[in-house]
Amino acid sequence: MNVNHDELIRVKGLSVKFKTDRGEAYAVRNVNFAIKPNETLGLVGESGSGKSVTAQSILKLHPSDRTKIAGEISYKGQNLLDKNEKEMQKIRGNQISMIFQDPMISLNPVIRVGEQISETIRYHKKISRKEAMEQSIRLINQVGIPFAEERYYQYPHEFSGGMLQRFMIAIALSCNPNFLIADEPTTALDVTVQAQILRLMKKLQKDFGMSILIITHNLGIVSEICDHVAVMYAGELVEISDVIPIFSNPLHPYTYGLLEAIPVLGQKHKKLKNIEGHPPNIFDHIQGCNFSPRCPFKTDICLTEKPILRQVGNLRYVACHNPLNHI
Amino acid sequence: MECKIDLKAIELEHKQRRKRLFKTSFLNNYLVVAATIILIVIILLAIFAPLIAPHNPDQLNLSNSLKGISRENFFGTDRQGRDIFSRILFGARTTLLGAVFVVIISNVIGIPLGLISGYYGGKIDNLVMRMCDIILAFPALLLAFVIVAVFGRNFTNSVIALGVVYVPMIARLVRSVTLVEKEKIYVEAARAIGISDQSIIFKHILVNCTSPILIQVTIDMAYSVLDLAAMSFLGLGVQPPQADWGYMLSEGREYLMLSPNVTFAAGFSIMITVICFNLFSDGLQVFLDPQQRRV
Repeated sequence: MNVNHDELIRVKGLSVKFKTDRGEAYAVRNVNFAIKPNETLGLVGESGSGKSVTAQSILKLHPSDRTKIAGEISYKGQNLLDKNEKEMQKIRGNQISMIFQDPMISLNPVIRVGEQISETIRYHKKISRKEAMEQSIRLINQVGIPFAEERYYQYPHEFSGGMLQRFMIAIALSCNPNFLIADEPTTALDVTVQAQILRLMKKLQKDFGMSILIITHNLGIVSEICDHVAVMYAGELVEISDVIPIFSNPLHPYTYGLLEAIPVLGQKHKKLKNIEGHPPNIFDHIQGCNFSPRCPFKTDICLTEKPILRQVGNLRYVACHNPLNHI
Repeated sequence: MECKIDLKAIELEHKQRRKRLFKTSFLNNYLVVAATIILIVIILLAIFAPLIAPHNPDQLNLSNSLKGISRENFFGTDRQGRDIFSRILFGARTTLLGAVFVVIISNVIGIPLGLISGYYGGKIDNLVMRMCDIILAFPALLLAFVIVAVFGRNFTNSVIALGVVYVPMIARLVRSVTLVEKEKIYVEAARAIGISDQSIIFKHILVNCTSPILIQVTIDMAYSVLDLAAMSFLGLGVQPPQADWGYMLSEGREYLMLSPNVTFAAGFSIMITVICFNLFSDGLQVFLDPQQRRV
């Protein structure tokens, strides 16, 4: 991976350790990826694989006294890990924004939704209350909520989940960020609303000209919205690829397993496929490949030597000794 | 996407909404309305006491001692022959002001302490909570006595002393709510869009504490009326001949068998005020909590 100057954000050798009573927990190990302007990267993996931790460490949302972050997160050429809390506050929301999994609990229940948007705007820009209100109403319109003027004064509990996620997006976009982190933005929503929200995100990406890092365990979302995919397992990246080839030609056995596990409509009596076993405990240290205990294709070398992420094709990386399909 | 925004119309709409809300959640509750009216009347009586009172509340008239209810003295007279009705009116001033200031002092100190120690945890939390433990280890009144003894015996000092003694209760309450609220996702979401700790603590978390704080405030109001009375009874609070409900209550106790008028008048005044206060704060809570009110 060469240093590329048109990259918006580059994560280099990111490791996140949490200090706990049971010792140090490695949540993320040596993660590398980069996102160019206007691109969307999907970060895929099962629960506990370190996706959210990776995203949160970009914004440094972890409690600093219990977390050790190593590596480098360079955003527009500046390392975010060197910044202090004050400087980070200027970046959060203003340049890099984040939306969360459950919109029902991501908004303050006793503050009017409109005020939560204008608060964010006024926090980052020196403008009057009136101007902020105008901008908020325009934003509410833009995220596809009708009667924006009336909605401005309503409370979160008066809306459905899909509507609230739109408000979350409006808050996240209120200061025109260059980069949006979406942490499972549609997991808590029902399927029809999911599609609407994804379409909205895609449209707004064009309107606002921003890059998106989308975290999900839903591969359907990945194929819908992403340009690139990074697959994470046990805190490490196992495969990076463009979005089309990963579906037709998965290289890592874990990616293959994930794709196989997608239920197909209409196959009623077939047993759902899964990947046998569990992800390793983050307190354990596995000598070989992290996935080796569950891998159906493992060989002797997998148990002794850790595979490193290596380039196998154009924009194609895999961390496996025996990739499934050779390009 | 450009859209025309008529801010004036929106604000008008908002005001009407507020009015509607106020009507449905506050005015439609007759008990609350009644309590509010009584409270307003009590406050007005206290303010205009010099104009309304038929007698000088401090005027001694020993030949007129312990008279019953009459046209001359609505509630009768006490042992020194003072008009009880006039003393109740003037007493409302000291009692209400005293209770209000006790609550204000304890809240102004206690709420920020609770918020900060709950939000940051660690050493600050330990320090604040251990200080609270120390204060709570003594009986509240005893500690207030000590403070008054050190700073001098007068009403102001006794109010300040009680205010300080009430701090741990409100601080602990706010801390416990903060501990729950700070783990909620909306706090993390607020952090993720660049809101500072200060704003999160004093805006986002504080508004979520209003209900429990209001409950505590009303309870404290009632307690502080009684505690101030106890201090006055021991000669540490209100200094005679100043009128005060609590003081009258304890003073009347001495001759309760001969003439219960003083105790009754003061006791009922305290009771009515406290009840009205509780009802009022109930109504206020429903009005302030968007999830409780029905539009």
